[in-house]
Amino acid sequence: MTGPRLRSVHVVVVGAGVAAVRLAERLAGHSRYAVTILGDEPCLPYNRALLPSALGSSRPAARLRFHAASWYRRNGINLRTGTAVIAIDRKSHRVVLADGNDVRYDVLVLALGAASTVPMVSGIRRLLARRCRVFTVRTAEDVRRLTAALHHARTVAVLGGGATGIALATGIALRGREVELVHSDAYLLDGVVDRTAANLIHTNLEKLGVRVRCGAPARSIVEGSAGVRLVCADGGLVVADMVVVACGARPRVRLAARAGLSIAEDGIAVTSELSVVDDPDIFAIGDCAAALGKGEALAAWEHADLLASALLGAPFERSPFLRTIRIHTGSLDLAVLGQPLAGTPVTLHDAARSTYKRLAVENNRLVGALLVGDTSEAGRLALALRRPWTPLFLRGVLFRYQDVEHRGLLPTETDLLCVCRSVSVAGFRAALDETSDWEEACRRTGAGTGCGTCRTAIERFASRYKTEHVA
Amino acid sequence: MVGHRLVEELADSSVDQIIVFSEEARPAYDRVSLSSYFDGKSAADLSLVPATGYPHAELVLGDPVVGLNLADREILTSTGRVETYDTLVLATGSRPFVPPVDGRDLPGVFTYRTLDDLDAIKEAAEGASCGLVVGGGLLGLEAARALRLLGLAVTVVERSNRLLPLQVDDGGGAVLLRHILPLGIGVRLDSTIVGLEPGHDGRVRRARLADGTEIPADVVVFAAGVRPCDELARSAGLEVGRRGGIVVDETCATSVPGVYAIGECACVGGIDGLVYGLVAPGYEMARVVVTQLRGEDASLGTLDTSTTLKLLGVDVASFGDAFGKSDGALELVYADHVNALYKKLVVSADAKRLLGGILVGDANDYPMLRTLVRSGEELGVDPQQLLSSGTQALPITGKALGEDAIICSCRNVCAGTIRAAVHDGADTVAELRNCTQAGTGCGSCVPMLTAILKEELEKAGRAVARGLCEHFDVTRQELFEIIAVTGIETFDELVRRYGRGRGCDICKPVVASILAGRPGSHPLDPQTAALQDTNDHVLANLQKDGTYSVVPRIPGGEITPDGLITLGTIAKEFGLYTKITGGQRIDMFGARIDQLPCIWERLVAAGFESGHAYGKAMRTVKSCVGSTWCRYGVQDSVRLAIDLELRYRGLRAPHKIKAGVSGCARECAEARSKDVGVIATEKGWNLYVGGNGGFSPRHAQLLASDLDEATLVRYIDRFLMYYIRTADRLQRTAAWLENLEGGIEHVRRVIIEDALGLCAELDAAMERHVASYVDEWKATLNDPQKRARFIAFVNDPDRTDPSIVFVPERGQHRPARKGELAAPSLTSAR
Ligand SMILES: Cc1cc2nc3c(=O)[nH]c(=O)nc-3n(C[C@H](O)[C@H](O)[C@H](O)COP(=O)(O)OP(=O)(O)OC[C@H]3O[C@@H](n4cnc5c(N)ncnc54)[C@H](O)[C@@H]3O)c2cc1C
Ligand SMILES: Cc1cc2nc3c(=O)[nH]c(=O)nc-3n(C[C@H](O)[C@H](O)[C@H](O)COP(=O)(O)OP(=O)(O)OC[C@H]3O[C@@H](n4cnc5c(N)ncnc54)[C@H](O)[C@@H]3O)c2cc1C
Ligand code: SF4
Repeated sequence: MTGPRLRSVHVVVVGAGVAAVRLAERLAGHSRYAVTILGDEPCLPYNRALLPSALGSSRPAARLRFHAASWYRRNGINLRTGTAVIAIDRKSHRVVLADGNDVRYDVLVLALGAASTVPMVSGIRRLLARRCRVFTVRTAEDVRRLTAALHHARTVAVLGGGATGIALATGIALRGREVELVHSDAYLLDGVVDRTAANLIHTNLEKLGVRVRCGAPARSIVEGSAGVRLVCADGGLVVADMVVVACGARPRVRLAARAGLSIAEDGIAVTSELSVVDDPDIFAIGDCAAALGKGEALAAWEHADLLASALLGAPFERSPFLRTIRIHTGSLDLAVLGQPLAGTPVTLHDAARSTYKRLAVENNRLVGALLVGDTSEAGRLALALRRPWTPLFLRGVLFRYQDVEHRGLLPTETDLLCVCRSVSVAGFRAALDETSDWEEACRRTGAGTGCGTCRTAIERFASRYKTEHVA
Repeated sequence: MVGHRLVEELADSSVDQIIVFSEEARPAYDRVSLSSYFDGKSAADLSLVPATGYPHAELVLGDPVVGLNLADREILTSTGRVETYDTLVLATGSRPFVPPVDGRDLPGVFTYRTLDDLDAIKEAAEGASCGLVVGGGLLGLEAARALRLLGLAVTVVERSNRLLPLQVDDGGGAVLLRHILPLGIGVRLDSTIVGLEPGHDGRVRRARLADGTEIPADVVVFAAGVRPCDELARSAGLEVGRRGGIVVDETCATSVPGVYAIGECACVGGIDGLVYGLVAPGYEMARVVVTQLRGEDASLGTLDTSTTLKLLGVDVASFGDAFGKSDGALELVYADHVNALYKKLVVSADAKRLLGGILVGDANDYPMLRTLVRSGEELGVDPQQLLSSGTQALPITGKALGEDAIICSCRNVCAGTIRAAVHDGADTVAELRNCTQAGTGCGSCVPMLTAILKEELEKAGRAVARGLCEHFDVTRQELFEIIAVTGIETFDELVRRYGRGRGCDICKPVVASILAGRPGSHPLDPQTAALQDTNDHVLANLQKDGTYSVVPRIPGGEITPDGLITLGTIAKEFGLYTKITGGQRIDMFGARIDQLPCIWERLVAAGFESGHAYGKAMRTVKSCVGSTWCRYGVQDSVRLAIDLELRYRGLRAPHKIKAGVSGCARECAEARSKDVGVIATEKGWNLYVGGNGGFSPRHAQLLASDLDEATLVRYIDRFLMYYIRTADRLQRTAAWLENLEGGIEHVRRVIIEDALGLCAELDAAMERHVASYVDEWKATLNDPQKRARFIAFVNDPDRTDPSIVFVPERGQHRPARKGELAAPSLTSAR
């Protein structure tokens, strides 16, 4: 089918993270585009959102990677790891690499991600630079270093009571370290979960041995002979062998700014089509772009999908933005889907099991869900988001009735079984037809390898499909 | 009430002489059911004492005891009578507490405790328009509903941050509000009354709140708590509690030998003891004293403070350790703001035992849960299962109960006694009641009785009777037959002759619909009105924001341009949202209850009739355009649909009935999704029955084909009547057919082949229905008494129901969503 070939368009992606890989997956196999990915990290691209779960692993990057090197080769994607871009020459359509070489582009995609925020704590920057007592967590390398440092620590302070801070605190506590979590707001996961959930998470953390200190941000940090001493706003003192900072991230915009591109308050300024406002040949996606939902892997994936469809001239249906946060550490499971604090709530709080579930309903649609302690229904809920509910379905999910799908809500062909990896019911079924093992089908399609929220739903879907298929 | 119980239980004792002195001028009556006085109960209905008085006791009415001489064992009454006693039992109850606010003595200010109070309130309500209730507890809410029934706009002022502060927690309170506000009862939380002010006529006119707000109030009812009547005892030198009440020990003995105190006037357990404001603990005290008077020892068991709210349609129950105060108690809470449900269970630290709970919105599980708390047995299931599926989750119900677990706490009957009675031959609940006395008190243990009965019968291999509910051992079908045969016209008579008790939310609506379905009756007839579902109650459909929707009948979906204009004009005038329904008619939303009669006046004048969208009744006969206009049509589907709809309009049934007529096999009217579907054929009509849309769609099944019109109508007549007679409550034709032995084949034999010889009767019944049809709305408008049910704010045109807020959308308006409520009636003083 090789006809008279046009020269293909060269798409250069700067940053080899979550968004970049998705874009490459989407453009792979389309001969109109030649794709080059330039990433400064030395390892193959991996799923950053799952980093906390790789704590304790000596090779986190390998564990979380999206594809083997051969995949990129097979799909004609020119992936160059360990390659930092230091400048963009818009006039000549080139990017300049750290080693002085340059790469020409037709279309430039900035997928630079974000960098950890350093909180306003006096003395912290100096310690961070020395990389022995204070750590941030953004890259696989960070996690590897943190894991190594934990071997020599007995007490650990975690700054930040957001999802990442909680996940890290739990992970560290489960490795037998004494952990103190310092959070500036009055309660954990402020604005993301309600008070009941925050209190339950708080109690569950304490059950794991994590001391939680809310409402007083750390103000200063000094290194002493026996570790570091943190002084909090309320005068409280925290002494620890090491400190992990999980205070959020801010977009990496320096490269774009130096190239004269406009920078908005929260990232590189882009149009709704994700092209930067100053240059039609340059796009920005993921955490670095000032676009809807940014800061979360799902948004990065959605940006990539949107851009890919635009380049391919395919229609794109913007899915209403879904948030997912997922912490999965046994005793402290947490899932936040969509907007659980919107709409009218339906809640179930079981102090005997230490679980709490909140579903939010608006105009007969499920708009959000919050699960603490028992997240086994997260996948089913992710599927149900934005769809009309039946009272039975809601109760069924809350109380985990097994057969509720049959009566309440069945996924249709085009529904995404796995939101992260964008695997549809039809696609997954095709894989199931080839292999009868659902886990193998997951590996082949990538379903369930994103945030993992959907795995139970996929398993259930597969077993039902098998019974129906055989019958 | 408690004194009465004591006297009653002393009936066959060896006590020689009993004299009962009563301050009230009437014999003891059922104070717990006081509010039903406004639902049509008379003083005689409420009386607990036979009209002939006590056979074994002297009853002195209207002559309170005013002095006690403990040393000489004498009492003195207001008329100067002096009596000596061996044993004195004080059962003086309590008096309403009226906080010391300015104006509390003004005319128009009442309390809510006695029948006399209620008479006075009734009288004052004439010509008044605004009512105010001080106190949002159980009594306050009952009083508020009473004032609503009397036609007043009502506001409840509650000091705490929620209604029923003693019974429900914050979460339950929030859900409870979702039930109370739609009743048209305004609520002000975190508010305190500081004064009452008179109008020109010297009667109370408005109330002032602590935050300075003024609320109009022509009738004020204080329901702010009660204080034990202990003055008599106090002045005679008996020990009284720090917060009032005659101090008694666990045998109900006061500080002076020979003197007992029972009921609400007693303070149990020393000067810091507890006063119980409920009837069940009082009855327990009566039992203890009676046992001692019979010469045996007795002391108080645990006193049960479980309560339910007795407001029609608002289920609230609070039982056991409802607030989780026991050591290590764990809570399970299900809060569903979408369906306005709240369920909380409190379990022991090991999650094995139920300690208490709160139910709002659905209290069906209350009796069973309460029994579980009392019995203290292990649950045997995960408490979350109990929360999710209620007591159905309990796999073993009575089985887990030990022989000495108390089942009926009113009569103190344990499981062993009940099982023994079943073994000795009892096989209905009624017999069990007779021989064990269980279930003859408050009745809350009857479900558990039923369960044990069933288990024991099954164990012994005996047949299990299937009754409608605890009040009737017969099924709906049988009730239908009974009513048809006996011509009984009231629920009370029916329950007296064929059932027991006062009825419940299961049997009352069933009986109401059967009674209303009799030819010539009206759902708002006094004997049935109080039994109706909310919708039937006001002949309109309640919507989520508390407003109502109005659906006039548009037979077959055919409407003239003038008809459309009339509807449009009315909708515009009353600001109603209009929408075309799935049944080919026009629904007008957003009417306040008081607007309903005015709207219908206009509709009736323009020739419209009730569409019965609110009732379990024939709804619509949907039609396609048919042969008149359609190129494919083979019969005139519109005309037939109109004829059918007019024939069956107003027909009451176990559930709603829908029908459809299509003009050819293309089936544009979707007739096969209806209870009765008719599809035209070249030769006549095919009749399908038992179709259903909704949650579990069913296609109607073919009953007969190629019928001429007369036969078709005859078959439909019989089908509907047969269904009405034999279906269970809330069973649509689809489910009915499915459960019917023999299914469609059986129906065919009954109504076509007349295998049971019923056809003549069914035909006659339908003829009676057709002949006696009157438009319910027209009848309502013409009857001032029925009209009065649509209690209005109209006396005060400036006042609109503050709980109803609309926002514009797509050129009309819709109810405001949460967060959009600009000025909710729930005004909190915080
Ligand atoms: C610990 C942690 C937990 C998280 N948990 C969740 C979660 O539960 N749910 C969720 O939705 N999201 C989560 N996130 C956020 C999620 O990982 C990010 O939103 C997502 O990775 C953004 O993708 P991206 O492609 O925009 O950026 P990245 O994945 O950060 O990729 C950007 C890449 O570009 C590289 N780069 C930057 N500048 C240059 C340059 N000049 N030259 C070459 N390469 C460059 C960076 O080194 C990086 O490798 C989490 C993030 C972290 C750090
Ligand atoms: C509207 C309403 C609804 C209620 N609902 C419930 C409910 O759902 N559940 C529940 O458990 N409880 C309920 N109660 C409370 C229940 O009615 C009381 O607990 C019960 O009546 C107490 O009985 P008692 O015999 O102690 O007092 P009462 O029934 O008050 O009887 C005391 C009697 O003694 C008379 N008396 C007082 N002093 C003298 C004197 N010196 N000489 C002679 N006679 C005197 C009084 O006039 C009165 O008639 C309700 C009460 C009311 C008012
Ligand atoms: S059902 Fe037949 S007659 Fe009726 S509208 Fe449809 S095609 Fe025409």
